[in-house]
Parts: sequence; C-alpha cells; structure tokens
Amino acid sequence: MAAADPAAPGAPLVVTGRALSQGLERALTRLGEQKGHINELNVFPVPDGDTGTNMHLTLEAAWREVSQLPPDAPVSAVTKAAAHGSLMGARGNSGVILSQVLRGWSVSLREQDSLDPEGLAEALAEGSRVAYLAVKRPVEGTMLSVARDAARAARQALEKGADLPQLVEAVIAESWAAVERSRDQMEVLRDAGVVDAGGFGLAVILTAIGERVTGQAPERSGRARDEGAEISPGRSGVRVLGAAAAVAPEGGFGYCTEFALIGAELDPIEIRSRLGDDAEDDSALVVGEPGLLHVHLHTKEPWDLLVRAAQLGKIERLKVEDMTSQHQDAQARGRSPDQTLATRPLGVVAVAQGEGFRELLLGLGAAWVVEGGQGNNPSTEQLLQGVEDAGAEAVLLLPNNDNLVLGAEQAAELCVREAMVVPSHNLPQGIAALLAFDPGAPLQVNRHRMERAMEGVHAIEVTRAVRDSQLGDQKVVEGALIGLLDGRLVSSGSEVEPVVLSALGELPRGSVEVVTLYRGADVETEASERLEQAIRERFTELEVERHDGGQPLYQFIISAE
Amino acid sequence: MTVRIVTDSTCDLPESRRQAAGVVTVPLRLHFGDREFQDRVDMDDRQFLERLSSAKQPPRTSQPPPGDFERAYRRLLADPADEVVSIHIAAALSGTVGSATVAAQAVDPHRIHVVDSRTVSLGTGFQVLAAVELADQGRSAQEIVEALSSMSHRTGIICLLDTLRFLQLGGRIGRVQAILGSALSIKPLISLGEDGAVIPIGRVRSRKVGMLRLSELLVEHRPLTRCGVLYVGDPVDAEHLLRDARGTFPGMDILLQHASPVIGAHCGPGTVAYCYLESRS
Repeated sequence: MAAADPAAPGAPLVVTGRALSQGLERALTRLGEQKGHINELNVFPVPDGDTGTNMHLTLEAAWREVSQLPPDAPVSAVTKAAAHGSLMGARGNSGVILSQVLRGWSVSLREQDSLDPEGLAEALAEGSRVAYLAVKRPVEGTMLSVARDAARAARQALEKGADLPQLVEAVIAESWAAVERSRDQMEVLRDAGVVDAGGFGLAVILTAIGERVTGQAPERSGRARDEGAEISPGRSGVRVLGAAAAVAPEGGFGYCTEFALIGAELDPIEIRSRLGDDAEDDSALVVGEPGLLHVHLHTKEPWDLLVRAAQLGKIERLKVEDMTSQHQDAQARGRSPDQTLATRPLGVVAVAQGEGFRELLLGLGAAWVVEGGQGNNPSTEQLLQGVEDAGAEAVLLLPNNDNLVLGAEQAAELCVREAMVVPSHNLPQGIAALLAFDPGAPLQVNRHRMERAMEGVHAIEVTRAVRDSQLGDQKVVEGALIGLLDGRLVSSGSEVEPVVLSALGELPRGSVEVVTLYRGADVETEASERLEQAIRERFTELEVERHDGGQPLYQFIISAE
Repeated sequence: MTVRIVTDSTCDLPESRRQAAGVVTVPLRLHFGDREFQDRVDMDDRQFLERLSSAKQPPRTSQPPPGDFERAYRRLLADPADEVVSIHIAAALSGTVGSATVAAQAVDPHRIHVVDSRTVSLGTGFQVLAAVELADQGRSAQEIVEALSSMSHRTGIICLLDTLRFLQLGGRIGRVQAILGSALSIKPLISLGEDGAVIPIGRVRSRKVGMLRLSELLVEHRPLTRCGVLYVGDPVDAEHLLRDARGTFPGMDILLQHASPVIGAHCGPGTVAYCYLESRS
C-alpha cells in the first residue's frame, strides 16, 4: 500500500493527514526501539538515561492526541494535535525542543489539508526556526543543528525541482549527516568520540516519518553508530510562545483576569481582536499556541470578556481578582488569618528525588516538592500540576536538574499563575537558593537573590559509570564509581572515598567552607560516616555535615560551598 | 543645669570614650552556675570566653537590680538643677529599662528620663554618644529624649551568628523560630524589629557568604552617620568587616568592639555584626 496518495494522476505526490499520522506512529515505534540506545549516548557515563526516554515520552504524548483524530483529519489537524500533545507532555530539554519543532510544523501547516514538497520544506524550516527560539544560546552540534540542516536540505532539493520522495530522501540523508557532524562540532563530543543524542533522536523521527509518507525505506547515508551524546543546552530557557506582550499604559483599577483558553482555533493576534478592547490593550498577555492559550489581562468588565472568550474555546483555570480590594485584603490578611484562604502570596516549588531531600526542602520552606530528577524527568504537565498544588499565588520553580531547566521554563510560561524559574542545575544549588528565599519579598527580588545564592555552590555527584569511557588518559570501566564536579567528570575509582577526595581536591583551596554529604538510598550509614571521616582528615579546615538524601542512582550528592 | 547620661554595660562603647564623656555605666549581671558576675566589671571578654568554653551549663543573664540605678541616680542628682537621661538596651530584650524606671520612680521621676533605645550594643551606644553631644550643647533632658526618640528608628544592627544555639538557650529567639525546623545547620542573619525584638533577615551555610551579605546589607542603609563592628571571640572576621566598611564609608570613625559578655552569652562565639546610625534623610 502506498502511503502517499496521488492528488491527481500525473500530479506530484502529496502527503495526507492520515499518512502523516501513521508516520508519527511509526516514529514513536522507532524511537521506542531506539530509546535505550539513545539513552546510552551520553558525554559522561552517568546513569541519566534521559534523552531517549524523554523524547519517546514527549512523542508519545503527541501521538496520544493525534490518535484521537478521525482517520480523515487534515494535515493541519494532525500537526496541531501533535504540537499540543507534545507541549503538555514535554520532558527534559530534549522533549521541550522536540515539542517546539512540532509546534513550528503546526504553525506552518495550519491551513494545509495535505503536504506537498513546498509545504514540507516550509514546515521543516519553521520547525527549526521555532526550536531555535526556544533555546537562549543555541549550540552547534545538537538537535537544533539537525533540524536546521534537514530544513536546508529540503529547501535545496525543492529548488532543484525534487518531487516528494526525492525531497524526503534528501532530508533523511542530511539529518544523519548532521548527526555525524555533531561529533566534531562540540569538543565534549569529539573527546568522548560520540554523536549528539538529541540529534540522533530527531534523525530517527524524521526518518520514520519520511519512510512512511513516501512508502519506502530510503538508504541511510552515514547512519551514526553506537555513540552519541546529548548536549544539554545548559542555562537556556524557553522564550514566550506565540505573540509577545507589548508595552503600553494600563487604564486604572479593575479586575485582574487570567485563564487558559483551550481549543480556540485562532492565533494569539486573532484572539486578541476577538476578545475585545481590553485584550487589545498592550498590557494584555495572550501567549501560547492556537488551541492552548494563556490569557492574562486587566479589565473593568471581566463578565463581558469571559462571554466572548467562552465563544472561542473552553475556559480553564480561571482566576478573576478585584484589584481594588486586593490591596485591602493583603493588609487585612496579616491581622486576621483567614482559614479558608489556603493560598500564600509566594511559594517555592522544587523538584527532587529521595525522601530525605523532600523533607529537607519542605523544612527549608518549599511549598511543594515535585517528585523527579535524574532518569525520571517530570513532564511539563507534572511541573504545571506542582505549581498548582503549591497553593501559592506566585511561584518560584527550582528544577534542581540540568535536564529540567527548559521544562520548568515552559511550565512557567504556560501556567496561569505568575511563575519564574530559578535555574538550579542540581540539588545543592537548589538548597542554597531556597535558603535565600524570603516569602515577604517580591518575586523578582527573590529570583535575583536566589540566583545570587547559587553562585559559589559546587555540586559533587558520585555514581556508577553505565558504560566504559575515558577520563584523560585513564580508562573508566562500566560499573566503576565516578565523581562529577558541577556536571564534569573529574574522578573515578572503585571506592567512594578516593573518588570524592579527588573531586574535592579540584576545588580551589579556600573557596569552600562547608561540605554537606547527602547519602543515597542504597548507601549504608557507615559508608557515609567513613566518608565524613576521610574528608575531615584530608581537609582539616572544612566543616562536614551528613544527611540522608535518599536519592536513587547517586551514592552521594555533595554540596561544597 | 547639667544633663547627665546613664547607660548600661551592653552599650559596648569603649570605656575610654564613656569616661571621657562622663557617662555612667550600670552593669547587667551574668550567672555561670551559682556564681554571679557584673558585666564588664568583674568579668572581661577573655574571662568570659574561657568560662563559656568550659561551662557545663549555659550562662544566664539578668538586668541590673534597681538599687544599682538608684545609687547612680542619687549620686548624679546631688545638684537639684541637674537631670539624668538613662539610655538602655531594648525593653523587648531585657528588663533593664524596667529596673531603671523603678529606680527613677523612687529617686525623682521628674528629673530622670529613662529611654528604651529599642536596639542593642553599639546601636544603643550611638544614641548615648548623640545624647552626650546634645547635653554638651546645653540641651535640656526633654529635648534630648525627643531627639533620641526620632533616632531609634535610624539605629540598627545586622548580625551573623555562627549558630542559633545561644539565642535559643537564652530564650531570645523570637520570630527567628521560623527559620529553624531544618535539619541543615545554617548560620542565621538576624536583626532587630521596630520594637527591638529579634527578627530573622536571612540564612546562609557559610561564614564567608554570610559576611558578604552583611556588607551588602550595610550598604543598603546608606548614608550613615555612625558605624561600628561588633564581634564575640576571634576578631579576624570582624577586622575583615571593618576593612569593608572603611572602603564603603571612607573617613568615617568606625568602632571595632568585642561585645559585652552579656551580649556574647546570647549570640555566642563567632558572632559578627554591623551596628549603624543612618543619617537623617
């Protein structure tokens, strides 16, 4: 059965919504087969087998929405469903970037019933463009480069007059070539002799969709082999999705009105005009994508606004606040605590794994702890739920993991509450940030103070290598203990103490005063005591503290500050 | 007519300065076990630190008995034209103001004016210095009291403790309780509220970060008229803070003082602090 349906005899082949939907299903299957392999593509042999799993879970969320569509749904509906599903289900940085690629496709194809070579080339270009926007500091040799190079190949093929199968073949070939190039584009990858895991995952997806829509399995040129690596975009974040809020004066007191608008088949600019004058006011915020929008504006007549909004889509997470009485409420609240008012003005939501860490974070004043971390990244939706569960009007999010920073940024953008991310890359940073939290200070001030507090906090993580690798001229065998200092592999060995001591030795003398050991779930108390003793003996000037973190995978997480 | 200034041992002004200004100082009391000491009279900083390190029980402190104030007031008021302004540690922290008031009632409530400084240590000390200056200018006791009442909200202390233990043992924990409840050992930054009660202003894990924070916080109170550095125990970190403050406020006469044993008993060794008097805006 040919998957690509001829639009008319002799005319160029086009891709129907059904074929694209089947392509996505095939991509999900392929990614499922490959995810273990992609998980192994890590620059460092740490057990953060996330990239493959995260991309798979993200694509699965996309597919769940696509599979609800009628079989004859047009291409526009398929890509929209995929974009929406992946946006809510995005996990990890790689998942977020993938969701943005799908979002770009959906924006580009919003009026297309089917896909011709021109439409395909444009969708790939838009997917690449939107994904680049999501990352503040894009890096060569990642999923982004694969998306961009694939789009460029499509454009070039189109200019040469390629038909659909030829164009698809060019895209697939170029995406794998880009994956291959990633090995040389980043120093960490070159040193480790691997390719980028996220790029590899995207190439798998493009290949599977391409094979399905053209009904053939094109030759893979330069198929990347068993090595690769995920490059985390580091301290990057997601920009505002959709229309940006413009700047203009705000007219007097009224009602602060916020809601999510589900299912409105219009872009944010159109929504603004349909919602009326208040929404067209430049201080109003209408962001997101058609079908899932976040509206935040001030109006004197929220009832009229809501009537108009209800005609456009389903209103969820509605919050209307009388700004005039808000002020008085805030003053009254201090004097007579209202038991029915469960909300606090400002709260911290932290992500952590391990009962010890959970209790510690709550003890330090976190309003809510979302379960998750290394190897178990919560989805954007789960982070959003955490923000809701915190019972706070405004929220500061501590992702506490490299791979959750983008997802947290996305959750902060999508949530109806005022939310900001303090980009903590590990739990020691998160705890330092939380210590600086002052519930009485404004959100912005807190974010600034918390980011400042994270500076100068070093994290040492001790875990077991999940595959053989190289540390300088030293070979690290699978199963060996390894020490990572601020995410960088610095030591290895068969015993915990030398691995930790040598990692601590990497820190400039005098820069550290307090070392805190957080014992993992599988470590005996005695081992923790021995480590404390060893550190005290070697570094006599340090204060050493021991706690139970209860985290999986990591024997020890150590903060040095 | 002369206005005489009385204070207590917790004002932490150098003895030479107090003597030169003719300020009379009434000592608070310190108890190690059954033994009672007069703050800074029969126990100095070094003796205090030695005793503290070997004490089985934490020391306790108490206000001076009213009799001490009575004696001082009677001596100062021998001339019927003279008046007394008696400036003391915040009533929220100590019963000293109470003792002084009882004594004033007994001696001559019209000529003795007891002032709650609403702060502690050099914060009180700066009010004492201001009162001395005003008295030298020939101001009446009533005028001095009015000037001080507008000054108390401009004086402050920001303090880094090495541990919350001493504050806790001394029962002066106040709202700082809120930052307990954590398994982690943290170094609290504290200050005093409007009424002089202890309030938390931050928490850090290392001294170095805490000291940086203190210096940052001090800058927020600019412009300053007076500034001082206070410590308990080792002076090294306090000297560091002194250098920071000199950099920020060049030319200012900045005091570096060991806290009186009574203050030390509540803050514990390792405490460092800035005391300041903000300029009138």
